[in-house]
Amino acid sequence: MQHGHALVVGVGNELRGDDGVGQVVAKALWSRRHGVPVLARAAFIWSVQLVPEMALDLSGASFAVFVDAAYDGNAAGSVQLSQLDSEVRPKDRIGQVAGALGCWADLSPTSLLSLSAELFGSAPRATLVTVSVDVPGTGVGLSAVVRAAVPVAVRVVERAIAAWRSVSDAVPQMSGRVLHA
Amino acid sequence: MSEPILSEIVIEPVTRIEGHAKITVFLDEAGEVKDAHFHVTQFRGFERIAQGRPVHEMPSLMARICGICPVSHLVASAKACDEILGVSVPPVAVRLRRVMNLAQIVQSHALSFFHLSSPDLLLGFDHEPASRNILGVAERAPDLARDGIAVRKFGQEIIERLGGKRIHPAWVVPGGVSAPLEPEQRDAILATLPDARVRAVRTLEWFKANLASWVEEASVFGSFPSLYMGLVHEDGHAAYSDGELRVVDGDGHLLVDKADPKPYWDYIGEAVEPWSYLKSTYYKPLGYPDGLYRVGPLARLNVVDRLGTPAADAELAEYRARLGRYPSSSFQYHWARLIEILHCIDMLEDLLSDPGILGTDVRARAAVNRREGVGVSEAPRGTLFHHYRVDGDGIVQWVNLVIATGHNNLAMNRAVLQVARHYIRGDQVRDGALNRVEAVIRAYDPCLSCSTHAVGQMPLEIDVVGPDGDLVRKMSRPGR
Repeated sequence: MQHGHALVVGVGNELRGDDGVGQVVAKALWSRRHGVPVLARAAFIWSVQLVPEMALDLSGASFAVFVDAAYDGNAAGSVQLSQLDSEVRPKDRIGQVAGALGCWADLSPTSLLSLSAELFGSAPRATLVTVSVDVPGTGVGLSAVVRAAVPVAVRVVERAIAAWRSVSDAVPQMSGRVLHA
Repeated sequence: MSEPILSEIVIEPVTRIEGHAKITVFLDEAGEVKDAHFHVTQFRGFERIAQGRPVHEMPSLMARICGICPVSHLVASAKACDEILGVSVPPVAVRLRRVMNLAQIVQSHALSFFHLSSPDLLLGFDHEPASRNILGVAERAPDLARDGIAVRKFGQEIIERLGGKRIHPAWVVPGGVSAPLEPEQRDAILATLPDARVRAVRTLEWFKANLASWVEEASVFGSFPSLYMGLVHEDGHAAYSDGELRVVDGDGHLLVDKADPKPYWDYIGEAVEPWSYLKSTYYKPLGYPDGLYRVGPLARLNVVDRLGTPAADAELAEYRARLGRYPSSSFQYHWARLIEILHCIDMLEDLLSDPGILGTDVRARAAVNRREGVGVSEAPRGTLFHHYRVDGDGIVQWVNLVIATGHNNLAMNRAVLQVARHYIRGDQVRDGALNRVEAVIRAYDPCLSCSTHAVGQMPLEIDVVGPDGDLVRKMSRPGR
């Protein structure tokens, strides 16, 4: 049984061109919250980077979608969805995750989920939606190919939330809101 | 045939600081530490970038210097612009700017103490590097980690409630602020204050209870007499957004008191070294480099007579009772930072509990009336000066930024040398020793992005250099 709300976390630097696509997608989803039923009960964060404080926000959500640019060698504009661990076991994983950290700025979605579970007792199911990009830019604005991928990424996120909701038998009434900007 | 003599150790990058830097430790022929340099290897150049921009853009442009302390730059920049416009900022706006600046200090201090330095303090300076980070803290002491997250979130949410977003809010503008505080936002902030206060007090108690664990580090982490500089109110209590300049020496002699901070060039000189992009400022009457002084939490607690809120003053009294009236170890930046978090929370409560804070007269408007302006405020890391000159159309012609991290540069270099001499012996260089060399830098909480104007973020390196100039050892970790 799942309760609570979905949380969309868009990450990236909008001043570095395509690197900011995660934020652009999150903002696009937020702007559609009144017209798209699955988004009406969602919360939204957009940020340059993941920070420890987000663990607290994650602990209050039942489902999370991280959206980020990926420098993965795929064709620019490719949109991919991958499942993050559905069962985060902090005591098992936090040591491994911590080992990858040089500093607080190196947090990953998985390490944040571990932190959420470790410190606040729960972590949501989560997925990662990535938009492949070639190189970060040096100014505001997405390249044409990445800009064209934004509506695709929006649909992927909406479908992921809808799929989660379809198996949720109790979703409290909440209005779509921004947790960070 | 004898083994070659170690000559140089390099730590690169220095981790858990804000910005890029490296440390070089120079060894003599006996393998003893001869000298050490803290190099800031990033360059930003905001002083040049701003030239040609309209003066009204300056606060928002200057806030982009830093993602950690943008509010500090907003406030100092807006104050410089106030001077150029020749406006008198409405009293409500003055207080609202203070609220945002205090919230900024809380969240930045929380980042420094909990996220960056608590792994060393909690887990130990010799703890394995792989888990010497915030997640290691979460595993060992989840309450401490929760407190860190909550206190930082508290400060950030105040900034967001006032300015619409946590990073780079554009709410502080020339002449005041762009919008009044809404009652529901004030109430929401006040509702979160008690929890933040409990967590701040709990962390202070934890730190004080563990002081004995860090006696050795405290004795060599930048432990030397120096001058201290900060802003104080006329009656001697701490000032963060306004106030007069005070400089004291390690014995408490007042070298500068009740001084207008705007003509900073009367007191502060700026020097450059070829091995760093970070300027070194010095107290002008003593010259360079003898005019070494410190700013920031340690210095502020040394220059003030009192802080100005009861609970923080009680903490200050205990701090002075245990460390002396003018603590000289930079290790105590940590304790001072925690006391300031409590003080800022209490000041926020005082400011927000006054119904006048909801006043709607929050901005004075004017065209350019002066060609020059200086804005001064206390940033989390110390006193911040923004100095602009404009032409008759209000186009920026010249900018000088004197940043807290620059004030502390001479002291950081001396501190690195002191720590290196204590912990490094020739080729016997343990990770824990090198971590201590980094940790003394973390105690100052330098913000290199602020102070050099970098493409990129975080890291640092440590070099050990031998008498013949050969690089003996280089510690390098990937930056981002």
